[in-house]
Amino acid sequence: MTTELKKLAATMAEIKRRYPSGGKRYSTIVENPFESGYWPLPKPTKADLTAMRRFKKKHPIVRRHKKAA
Amino acid sequence: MPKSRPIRHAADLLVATRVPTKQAAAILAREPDSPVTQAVKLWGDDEAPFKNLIAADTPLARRWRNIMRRLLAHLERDLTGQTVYRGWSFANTRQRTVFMKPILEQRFFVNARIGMSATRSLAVSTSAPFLNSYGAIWEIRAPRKARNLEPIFAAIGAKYPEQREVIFPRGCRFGLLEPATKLEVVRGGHMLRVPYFTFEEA
Repeated sequence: MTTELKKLAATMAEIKRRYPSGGKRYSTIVENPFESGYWPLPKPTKADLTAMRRFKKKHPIVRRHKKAA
Repeated sequence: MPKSRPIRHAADLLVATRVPTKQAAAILAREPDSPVTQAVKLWGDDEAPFKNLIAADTPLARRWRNIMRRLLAHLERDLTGQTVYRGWSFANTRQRTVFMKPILEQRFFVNARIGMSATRSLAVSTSAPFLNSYGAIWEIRAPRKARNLEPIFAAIGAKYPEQREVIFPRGCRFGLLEPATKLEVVRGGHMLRVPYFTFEEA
């Protein structure tokens, strides 16, 4: 744990040094990488698919049709 | 049953399990210079490093995310079940369409980021840093795995304790309950008409 904390401390120092607040470095930062294509949504895992099926079964979309006059 | 270790230092938060958020807040506030406190503060401060660290694929960013992942995993869940909101801000309508398309098709979203912030207040989630005219609002009902970080952010003096008061860890799943509706809000004298989606944690 101590080694890990030392690594984290070094990381924090490095982040502060390399990323000054309001620095010009951030001109190309992408706020939401998902929607910009830089970080596509990952393929759902088996557990995700199971949860998805369970959810859809529990909450089916109810389509309301207009009644004939 | 093994006796749980007492939590004395900020570093202990990375190994202890089901730590109450209030206790974690007190410990982190006591050690402002701890790297763990500084890592959490980066999340609560809406500054450029946070935006970059959450997405970047550098060793520094990975290490920071690893610490945050462990910290979030070991915090106690917020079991109040209170509805939370998340505002999304996009650069243009196309970005929003591209992002929402697979979610609308599958009626499902899996959080791939290390954490997804949300707030209990619709007013906060529709405020300028989170919502623009190309954005969207998510209402998330019945959250089960969210961690309430508001006491921690308030205790360590993070800039935005309200806007990131609830964080969903990586892997949280959300199902879309209803087709999108429109929400009209007035921000900065302009009327914003944005899509409003209702999700439930699956």
